Amino acid sequence: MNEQHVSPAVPPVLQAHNISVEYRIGRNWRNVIKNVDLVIEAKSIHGLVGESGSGKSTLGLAILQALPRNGRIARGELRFEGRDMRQIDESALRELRGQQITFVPQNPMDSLNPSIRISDQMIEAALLHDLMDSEAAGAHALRWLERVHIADPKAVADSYPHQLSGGMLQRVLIAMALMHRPSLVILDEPTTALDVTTQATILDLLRELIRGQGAAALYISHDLGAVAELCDDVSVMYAGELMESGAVDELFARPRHPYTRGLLACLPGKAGNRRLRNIEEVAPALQQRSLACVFADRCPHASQRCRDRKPVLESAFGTIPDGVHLVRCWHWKEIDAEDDDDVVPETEDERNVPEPPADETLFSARGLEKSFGDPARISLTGKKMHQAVRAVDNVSIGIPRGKTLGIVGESGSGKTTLARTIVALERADAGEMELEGLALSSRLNRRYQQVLRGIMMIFQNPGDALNPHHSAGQSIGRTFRKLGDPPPPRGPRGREELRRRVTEMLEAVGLSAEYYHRYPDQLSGGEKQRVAIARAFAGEPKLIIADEPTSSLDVSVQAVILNLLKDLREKQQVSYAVISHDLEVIEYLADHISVMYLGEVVESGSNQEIGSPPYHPYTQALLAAAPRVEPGRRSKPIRLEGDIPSPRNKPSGCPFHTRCPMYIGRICREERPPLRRSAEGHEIRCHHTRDDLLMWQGGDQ
Amino acid sequence: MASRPANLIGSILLLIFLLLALFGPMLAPWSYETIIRGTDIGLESRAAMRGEPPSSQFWFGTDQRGRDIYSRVLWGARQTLGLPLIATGISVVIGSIIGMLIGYAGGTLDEIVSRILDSLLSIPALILALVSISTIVPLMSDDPGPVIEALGPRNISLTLVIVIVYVPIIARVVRSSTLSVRHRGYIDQAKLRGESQSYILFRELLPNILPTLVVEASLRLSYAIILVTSLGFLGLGVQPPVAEWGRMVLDARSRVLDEPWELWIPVTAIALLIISVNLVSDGLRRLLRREDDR
Repeated sequence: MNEQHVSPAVPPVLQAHNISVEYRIGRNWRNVIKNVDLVIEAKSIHGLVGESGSGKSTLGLAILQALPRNGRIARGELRFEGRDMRQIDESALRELRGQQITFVPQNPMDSLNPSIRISDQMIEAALLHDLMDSEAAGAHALRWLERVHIADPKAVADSYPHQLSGGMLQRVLIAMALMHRPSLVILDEPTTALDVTTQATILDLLRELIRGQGAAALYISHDLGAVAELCDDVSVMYAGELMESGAVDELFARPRHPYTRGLLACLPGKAGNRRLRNIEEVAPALQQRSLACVFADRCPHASQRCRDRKPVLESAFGTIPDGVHLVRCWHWKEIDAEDDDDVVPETEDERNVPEPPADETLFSARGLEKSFGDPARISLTGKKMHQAVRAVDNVSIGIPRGKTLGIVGESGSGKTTLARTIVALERADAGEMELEGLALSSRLNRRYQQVLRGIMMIFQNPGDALNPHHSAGQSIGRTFRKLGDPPPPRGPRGREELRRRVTEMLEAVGLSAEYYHRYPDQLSGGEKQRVAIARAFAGEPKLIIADEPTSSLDVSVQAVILNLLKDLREKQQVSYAVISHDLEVIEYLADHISVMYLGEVVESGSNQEIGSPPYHPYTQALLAAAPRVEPGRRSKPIRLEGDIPSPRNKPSGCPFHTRCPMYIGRICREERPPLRRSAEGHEIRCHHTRDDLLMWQGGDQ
Repeated sequence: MASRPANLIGSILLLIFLLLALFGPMLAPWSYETIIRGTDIGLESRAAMRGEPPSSQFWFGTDQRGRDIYSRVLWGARQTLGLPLIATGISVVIGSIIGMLIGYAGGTLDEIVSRILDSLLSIPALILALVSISTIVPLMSDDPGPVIEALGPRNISLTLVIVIVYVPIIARVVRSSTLSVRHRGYIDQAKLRGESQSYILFRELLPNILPTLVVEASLRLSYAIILVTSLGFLGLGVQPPVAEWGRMVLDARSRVLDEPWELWIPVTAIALLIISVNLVSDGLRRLLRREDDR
């Protein structure tokens, strides 16, 4: 071994040395993981972070010896509690898996058999390994359901997976992974599919149980915040190689590798009002990975040496005593000596941009309502068999010219429906909308071209927003034809002009003219979103509705897109309504924020007002739930129990009363809370007075 | 299409059959109805050359009336492949327009039209063909106008049968793939641009359901060929002396032991044609699926 790890009393649970994994593609074996070292100490949680395609999940599967048929561990040493995992035979491996090494997958819905009761799936491992008889196993399972804080274990054990929510299923899977006292739990993005508030409770649970059991864990995630909160050690992977590893507090406080530094600088929550620093967005394709430093092409510090020779993993002395901090970079010492902020490009300060003239309202909506009945379920007598879903319930918003409104809420809060209602993809049941003082029809085909041009939308999933059979140029050009002002004339001269305008637009979003002829399948996720943004701007809109514009992108790409949106706002003088479940994104972009819960706006105000007390109790919980990379910050008191109720049977009175930590009884249950307004226009819809809220919440600042 | 050798062979075969359907009659040494007599080929005898085995003179032999089977197979290609091809083409056009419309519009229109299509689906093709031949064909033959005269009442009624049976099938397939595309972001974007319905249907939707449509169409074609040859074999297709492979099998049936070539040659032709259409269909499916995955 190269480095002598500071040896604790107990040997590490897992030692992976020089592991390389290959996949067969066509007739060739391609290296997806190259010479990775990973040591998981006993009773510690090791985080493995990286962007999509970095090989982090593959490494997890390799440790489990569960690579797909076309994958193999090509080289390296893998020791689990001292035993050589690569020499172990299939039956011994089966003994290990599910008992001593367990796995919690990303998508709980896919991982449980929908036609077998929870209890039967939970005792399967016990029976298979002859650990206990079925009666004892059943009791054991119930005990464990209790330990993962499931309120009614008996009922859950008797139910089928589809009857439970995602958060509940993840709890069941965690119980299954831990119930036989494993030495190592591998968790592959266990909270990615869940809402923030649910994610927060799951992270709490993992911390409590893994530590309580004395197990070790490998926590694979792209979410730096979650890793920072949960893990003891962390390894950063990029393009199949280990870039840096060390103790969490140490590594996040003093990242040494340019990639780690880049990733951390990408987080919108840390940027405050600064421009996000971004790494070039495209990770190299599998075939094009460099034999020297894989990160060199995206690295601002790359030198000739980086392109010639692969850097070795060397030890950077940790500031924590006994801490190991490894980094694979030729230049980490020089980079470390520079001050971080020197590297940020000069466009850093955005505050100097001239403020747009006063708060003139560009767009406003009053009392918007949208319910979904299910027409197919109307019975023959014409009676509705199901209660309508009130997706948007009496929502009023206003967006000043040149400003950004952020709308935040969890899934099911109605924020996407609100966006679709504003652009009239859904027809509002009630309410009024105005753009520049002109009333808007709630039906799309009654909207004038001027209105269509004025409001554009950017969708969540860029893969879905572009027609796979139209090239980037065609997509943008068509928008110019329909909504351009003036539209390009017909004939060859018009075509030339159109081409020029499309190319300009492409350049405005940072894509070269070559992209004109690219089809969506030739674009990366970030590039697709750029094309979608270019298309949205083609009609010179006044308002752009962006529905989760970055939620399907990697952090580094997210930073690029957020910067782009911010730049375009200044340049084109547009207003945004940005919708997101991610408070950091909203805080970064928005001037005003509205918080939605079950179709209602529960709090609205300026960015600052939302970020400090008094808050609506739900806002407070959202803020507390979002994991952040702030070394040292761990304890957070506010947690919401249970899941967001179905909008089909929305709670009476205050919709939040079923989960509210400040629930005070009958009044919350029965009466709709009043809107409490401050002098500055900050609104909270709650039965507690602003002073009460401030008193409760003031302490946690 | 050359993703696999089998698909390549299929495509080449189908191409040959298509060329035969187009140019076969020009290549045929004899007409489909000529009864060849000894004098025709330089013999003394004036007797018809009945049941001759395959030879250099008659590559596939002659049938019991003394007609050249090779020539009849060439002529028959047009009947056997042409009619299903045209009928399937008409069904694809009508079916996909109906399918896209109801899939995109949804709601009550979709409910009503879908139920009608469902009830049409319950009609078995062969029975419908029998009924139409026994009722419509005599009606048309009573007073044939110039159009019916030119196309032939039986051809028209067969085409109609195929269209009636296939339109609902194709419409359903197109409808379901339209449903999966209808809520895509790019469709919403087109609506937000204020595009017309027809632009959305034909420029945004159609290219994305084309793969499914092409595969379904090629599959339908092979079933149409089977239907037409089956009717020919039952004696209900085009009438003699016109050459059609199914009918040729029927005529040769009783002498299969004495003159086996007379039966085996049209049977082989039918089998090869069906196999080649299926291979092409399979190849298209692979090709288009791969393109979609890219």
